[in-house]
Amino acid sequence: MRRLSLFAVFAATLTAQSVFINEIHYDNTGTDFLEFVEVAGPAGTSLAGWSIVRYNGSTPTAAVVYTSPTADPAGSDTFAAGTLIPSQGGGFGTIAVRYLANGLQNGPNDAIALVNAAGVVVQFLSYEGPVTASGGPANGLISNDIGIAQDGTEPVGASLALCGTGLVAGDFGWMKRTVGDPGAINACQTFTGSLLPTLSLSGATLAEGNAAMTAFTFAVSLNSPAGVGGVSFTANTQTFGANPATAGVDYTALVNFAGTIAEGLSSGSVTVQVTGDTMPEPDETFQLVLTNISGATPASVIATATIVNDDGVLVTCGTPGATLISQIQGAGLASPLTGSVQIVEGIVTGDFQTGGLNGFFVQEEAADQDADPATSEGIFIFNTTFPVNSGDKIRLTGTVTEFGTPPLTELTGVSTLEVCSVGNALPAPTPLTLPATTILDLERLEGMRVQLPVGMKVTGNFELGSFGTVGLATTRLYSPTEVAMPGAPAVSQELMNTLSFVNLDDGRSASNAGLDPKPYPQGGGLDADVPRTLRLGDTVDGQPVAIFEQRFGSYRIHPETAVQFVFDNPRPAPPVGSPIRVASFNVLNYFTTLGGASICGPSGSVSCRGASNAAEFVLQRDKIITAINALDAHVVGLIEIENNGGIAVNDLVSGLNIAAGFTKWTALSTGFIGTDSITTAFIYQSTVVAPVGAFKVLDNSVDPRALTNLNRPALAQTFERIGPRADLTRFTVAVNHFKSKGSACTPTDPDTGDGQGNCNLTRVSIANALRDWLATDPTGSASSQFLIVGDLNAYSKEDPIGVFTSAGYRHLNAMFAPGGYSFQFFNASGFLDHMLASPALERLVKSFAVWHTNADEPAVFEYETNGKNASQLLTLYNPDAFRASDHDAIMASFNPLCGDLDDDGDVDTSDLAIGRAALGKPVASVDRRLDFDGVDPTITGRDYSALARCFAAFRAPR
Amino acid sequence: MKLFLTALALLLPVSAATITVIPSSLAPAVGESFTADVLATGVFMTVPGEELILFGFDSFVSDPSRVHFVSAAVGPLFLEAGLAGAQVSGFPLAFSLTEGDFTEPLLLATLTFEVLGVGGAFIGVQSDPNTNPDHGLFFLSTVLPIDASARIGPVPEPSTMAMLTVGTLALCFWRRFSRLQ
Repeated sequence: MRRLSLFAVFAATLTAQSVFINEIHYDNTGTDFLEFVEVAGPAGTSLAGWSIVRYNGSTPTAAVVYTSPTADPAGSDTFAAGTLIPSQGGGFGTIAVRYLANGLQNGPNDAIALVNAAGVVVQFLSYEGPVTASGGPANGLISNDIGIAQDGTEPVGASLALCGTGLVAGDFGWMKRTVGDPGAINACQTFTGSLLPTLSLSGATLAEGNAAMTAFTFAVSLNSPAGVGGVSFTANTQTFGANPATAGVDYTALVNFAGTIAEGLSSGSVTVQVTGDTMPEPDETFQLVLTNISGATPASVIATATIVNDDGVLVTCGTPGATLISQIQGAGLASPLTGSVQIVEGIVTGDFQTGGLNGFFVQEEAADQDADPATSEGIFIFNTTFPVNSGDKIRLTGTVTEFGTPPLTELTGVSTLEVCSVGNALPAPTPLTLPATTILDLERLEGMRVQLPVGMKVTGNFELGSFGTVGLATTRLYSPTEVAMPGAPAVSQELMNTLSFVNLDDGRSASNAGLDPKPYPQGGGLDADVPRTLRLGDTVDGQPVAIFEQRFGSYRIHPETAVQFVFDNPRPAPPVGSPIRVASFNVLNYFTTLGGASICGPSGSVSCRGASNAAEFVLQRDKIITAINALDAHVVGLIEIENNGGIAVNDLVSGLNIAAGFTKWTALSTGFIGTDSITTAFIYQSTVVAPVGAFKVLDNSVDPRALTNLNRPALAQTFERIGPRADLTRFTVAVNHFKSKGSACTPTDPDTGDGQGNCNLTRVSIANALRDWLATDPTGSASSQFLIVGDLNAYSKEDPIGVFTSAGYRHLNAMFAPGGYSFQFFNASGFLDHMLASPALERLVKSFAVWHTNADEPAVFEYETNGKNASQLLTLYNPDAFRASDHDAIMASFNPLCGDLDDDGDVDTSDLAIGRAALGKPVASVDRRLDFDGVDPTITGRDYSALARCFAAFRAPR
Repeated sequence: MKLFLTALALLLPVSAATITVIPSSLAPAVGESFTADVLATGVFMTVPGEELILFGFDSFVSDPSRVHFVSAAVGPLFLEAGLAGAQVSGFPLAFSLTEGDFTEPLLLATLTFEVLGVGGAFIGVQSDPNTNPDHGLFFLSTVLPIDASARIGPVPEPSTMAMLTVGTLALCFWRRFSRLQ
């Protein structure tokens, strides 16, 4: 950090010429009579306290003061207070000190000192030879002999006088006169001319220095002492020369510095501080300019300072020896010149020496770019010691290095850096084409200035809060097995994702609490209260220009100016549906046992999850409560709630009911389930639905294929809609949480690389067990209406989903929400949360929707307080539903009473009329439930038959 | 005629109510329209206690150049159902018809045909309940087929007609060749 400091030093040597001895009479024929010493000076000058001191030089090497006889009147050789030089001509005047007889020695070698009020000798003159004063105010001084003398033959009244034309003593010469004129301007003397001294400014040439500041002093000189009021001027530095020093970088500019030279002084100085460094560079220059000069006549007012390079030998811009950046980058993933020392010359396109990247990017000038698009023209320079700016043309020497995995080609160990010129236009940006055809199409842009394509979409924001990055792609990216079958298609999709993706970075390495505010979106970064968010699916406005590079495992861009987003995926209202709504919601480890110790689960020895402390739990709980009450499903299958015998789920229900204002919710009491610290659970609205019979659990004791040492057991409960013929409305919901992909299920079920991640066989195994278990109607519902819900930890195209669809279950996600998602993982979206309905139930489904409160939102809005500073704890939290969890809730609505097309709780002729009116019509034009068999494009006789059977069933006595 | 209907009934996959098609005229003149009633008897014979809720079938003509189907109207106990996959369909005025709700034969519909050319033809109704979800006599728990036909006009048997045609042509050629000789 350069420190600004400025000061100026003034110094002067004592030379007094404006008041001087002008005439002397010390000898005449006969007895000396009417001797005197006359002093001249500018009119109005105060002589109060000044004095004439006489020296007897009988011993010229030790002239001594004599005081007898006294002046006439006695003591008048010390001027009294109030004594001013009168105005007698030309702005000057004289005062004579008189001695009646023999007051002044006749020589040889006698002297007279003119002493100012401060006791300082202003003049020390002698006649008939020089003397050296011994004692008195002139002690030690050698006199100036005036060169002429009175020999005793002169008449009374003669004198030795300064004659000529001028203003100061030096302008005149001593002359012998027969008639003196003490107390008046000498008859042979004319005072005329300017009083002002002439001012000259001189420059400085100094070595720059290697650290801190070097003082460059400009001397300001006057050819005569400053007059009354002194000399004043204004000093400013200015850029100058072929290699101009840069104000603020190379030196500390002076702006309107007020300088003075005090009255009586004839020199001063102005000092400018130059910043030392160790960077070889040309000798640089700047200038000092004086203006507003008062009290002196300017002779020279501009002077140049030369900062002499003291940092070693320069490499020279433009000379042979440089290697093209394209040759360093090569056409492959790594440089062919790794490890070698190279000289490059180019334009600095991005300066990230501060902020954590610790370097800058250089791109070859257009004229030096090769014609091969396979080679990058840009490169990262890992260096902070040579300060550069965007637009500098530089020449540097460094070692080619590959950094990170996959590697970024860069130059490190920079030994020389020369700034050839500054303020150059940057090389034109290269269009960034996405999806790229191959990785090499991205690699070839590494280190270069690029321009984004139109309409880039936000596809990842998980690290926006932590590292300030936003995942961008040409469209929202999906987890490969969400859209492609496992195996080669998924692997191909994964590559396509990579080729479509770039990370939008912020040019800094600040993170978490230190990243404040978050760099995106525009308007001040993330704020939960405004709210100001950046959701997946939002769009980059325009085509920003950025530096393209590779770091932390992905290609990324650092934009030149702040990227703006178009918010075209606004926060949604909760989904609606009737008359019965069933939801599945992963509540992100809702634990009432806080702190994370290994005291959870039925055994009391499993690691607890969730909130770290009571404060965090309040934040978590409030968000979950808001979300569940807003979703307002009648049955909610919960995932990731603490398995503590119902304490956690009862706590949640208590909070929900208080927030709702009435006893809206009831928890299904299941006690402990399985062995993990988390479990699944049901809560339901008892005014709308009622559980029928007991809940059932699928675990290893029921079917070893459940593998409930890894999967969470399935929990099934039959419900019915409260109302007439409730027995006809029974449906069974099974909530599940299959083993995650997070870690390998060794040794037999690792990640096979087919896109399904770890433990696919473990999930398939419980899927098979669940399918077969439900076929036995484990809860004794006597209904064919089954709904499998939960976090299956498998994307839509994965094997476990296929287990159910092959058995006839209908995948509501795929049917009702194609292109949907409930989870964000590594900049891709997908469904981990599913609903699969038996055919009988699927035919009754009216809607299925995902409430995108979580997957699209930045993770930093979650309840966690770690990594947030005090301000962020406020701005990044709101007790709303957004990022209440990491999973979106999914919800289906259906009427479990078949044939109740008007949803009024019965099946009557009104419903029949709806069915009859729909006969023959396209399925898409009528209530989807009328297509009972789900086969034909129109509502057929068979569909009507099914409706009629529902009618008949309801009509029949119970 | 009776033999033909019996044979047709034997081909049906499910033993069904008896469907008959009764033309209003057995020998209509060219240019004339005529009607045919589609009647069901023994409706609940094989499905006792069932409820009839819907029917749907297509019309049938053996030779469209001689007779073509013009329109249909459902019987007085039915309303047009408008099924997309059936030419004629109807459901009861009430939810269903049960045994005792009507006196047999039950008039399902009256079809109107027009005679276009000389000669006899078969007209009738047909259904394909196994593959057409709009075809059949729909009861709550099952669907029965609706298939029947009737012969219109003094039409020779197709084989007799063919022999006559061949003989006539042969005679013509014989006479022509005779003259040349």
